[in-house]
Amino acid sequence: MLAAFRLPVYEFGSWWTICPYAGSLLRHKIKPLSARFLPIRLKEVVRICDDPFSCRWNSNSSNASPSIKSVQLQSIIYNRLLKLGNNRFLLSRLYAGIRCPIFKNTEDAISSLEFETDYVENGNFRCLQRAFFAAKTSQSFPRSGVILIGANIQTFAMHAWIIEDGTQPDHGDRDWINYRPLLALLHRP
Amino acid sequence: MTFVGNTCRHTRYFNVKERRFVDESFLPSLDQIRTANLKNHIDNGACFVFRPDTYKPVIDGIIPIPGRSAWTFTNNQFVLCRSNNTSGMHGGAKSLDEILAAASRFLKISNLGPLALEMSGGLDSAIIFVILKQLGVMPILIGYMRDRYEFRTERIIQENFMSQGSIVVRLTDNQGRPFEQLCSSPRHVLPDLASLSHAAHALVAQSAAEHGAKTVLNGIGADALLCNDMQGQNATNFPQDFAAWALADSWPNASIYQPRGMKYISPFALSPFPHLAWKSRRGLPGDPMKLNARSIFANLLPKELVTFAYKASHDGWIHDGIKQAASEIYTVASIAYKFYQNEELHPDKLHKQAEKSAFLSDDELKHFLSCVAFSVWIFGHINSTKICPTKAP
Repeated sequence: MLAAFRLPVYEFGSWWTICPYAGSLLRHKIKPLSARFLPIRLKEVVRICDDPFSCRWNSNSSNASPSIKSVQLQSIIYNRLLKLGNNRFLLSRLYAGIRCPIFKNTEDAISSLEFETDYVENGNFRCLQRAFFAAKTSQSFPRSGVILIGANIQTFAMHAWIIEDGTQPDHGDRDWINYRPLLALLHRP
Repeated sequence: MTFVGNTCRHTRYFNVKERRFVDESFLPSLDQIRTANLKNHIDNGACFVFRPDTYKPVIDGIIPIPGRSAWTFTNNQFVLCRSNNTSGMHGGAKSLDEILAAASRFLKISNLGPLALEMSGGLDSAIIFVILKQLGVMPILIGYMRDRYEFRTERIIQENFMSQGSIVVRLTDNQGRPFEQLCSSPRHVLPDLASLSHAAHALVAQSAAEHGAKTVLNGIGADALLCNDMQGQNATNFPQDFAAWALADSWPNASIYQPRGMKYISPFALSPFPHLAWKSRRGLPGDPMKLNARSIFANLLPKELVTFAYKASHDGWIHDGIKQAASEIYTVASIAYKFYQNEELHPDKLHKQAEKSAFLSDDELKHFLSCVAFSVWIFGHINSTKICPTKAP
């Protein structure tokens, strides 16, 4: 299963976290418990979120061409994640933790979704499924990737994205800078 | 048929019954305000610009005619007869040199006076700055330095440019919030959403005036020019849909800048730039990240604007502004409700919505803002000389 690390933030007079089981935004009066030590990879990712100009970013999507078998598999996985939806966060997290590496890295995995009908129509609303899909299907994610789930604390809007090896692999997503990362999901080293 | 042309930079008001413009000093009477049409105002509220051909009258018989536009009025219908930007199109700019040459010619023939520039930290104002700098013109830079998390990328870019400016005015996040000082919004002819951010405009205008600027430049209109899909029918329609008059700068010009003897203009909307951009992007698909513009100006812009295409969201800032102004919204709505007697303006309702604005849907938010703008309009007319008398619960 993907390990969860809470990244509490104090803003507008309260502490804020995201529940690692329900995926909901939580407000606390006192500082919530969080991991005393963060993995080095996660520390680096948090630094990149604070300074987005230190992240590598490419406006062109990957040109990787997957096999027919992997295209079928990717559809099955993505549709399962859609069925689980945002409300069954823990189940989605468990499902994404079961590895099915069909892409070299998360960049290829996310690019492959451009052919999914639902993604084309609702891509912006599927950030959590996109991130879980990339984590499950990418070979490199356990070694170098982190899923971040953040919130805009003023509007309560939430967003999920990945940082892998110093890169934000989703070329169409430039909105991630507007969200404070409050929960990180990654495979333990 | 009546020809209705407005050569000013601000909106003028046409009386369709008398078939003539009303005086520049025109302000509606209290009877006209009492019988104004709130529903029509809410319907108009979705638009940034009031086009007379689609405008639903709020005051009976009074139609706003946007600045720099010409229309014909026949059988109670307005028809656009001319768009400023379609004339004289002689090929689009493909290179930076062509753009700089056009800008240089334009600056020589325009009488803009000392310039200030609203420096937001985004691409649009950055393009204006680098063009001016390349031509040896150094504007006064005025920027709201917002300390919110989501503006951290824009702050870096603002600091980068401000370190190059000779005169720099840094306004803090606590100054000029949206919806601030609603009680002191200047009286205006028709309710307008732009009146809700009058304090922010006034602060920029005042800062520019203190440093001797006569014109404040802004980046309004760049999104349409640099992002829109310019293929097929879109390209054909573009010169009609995008014109200098179709920008959201009219209200600030008429209510904030003109009384100070200043102008508030977007270089993107001025000849020759709209047609340079239109011609050069004709046939190209939509470019929401403005990658084409970033590549044209790659040698002049900082790498943060060339390598990255981040865009800070203003949503949190706006909702914060609404929440902070909830008490003043209550005050304004109380007076407006007493006078106009319409449940849409009930102060309790608007106050409650202001407190929870982050949970409103897009349509509900537009409706709410239209009601607040209407209340501000009424308040300005009936209570302009009094100090806010009613406090929120």
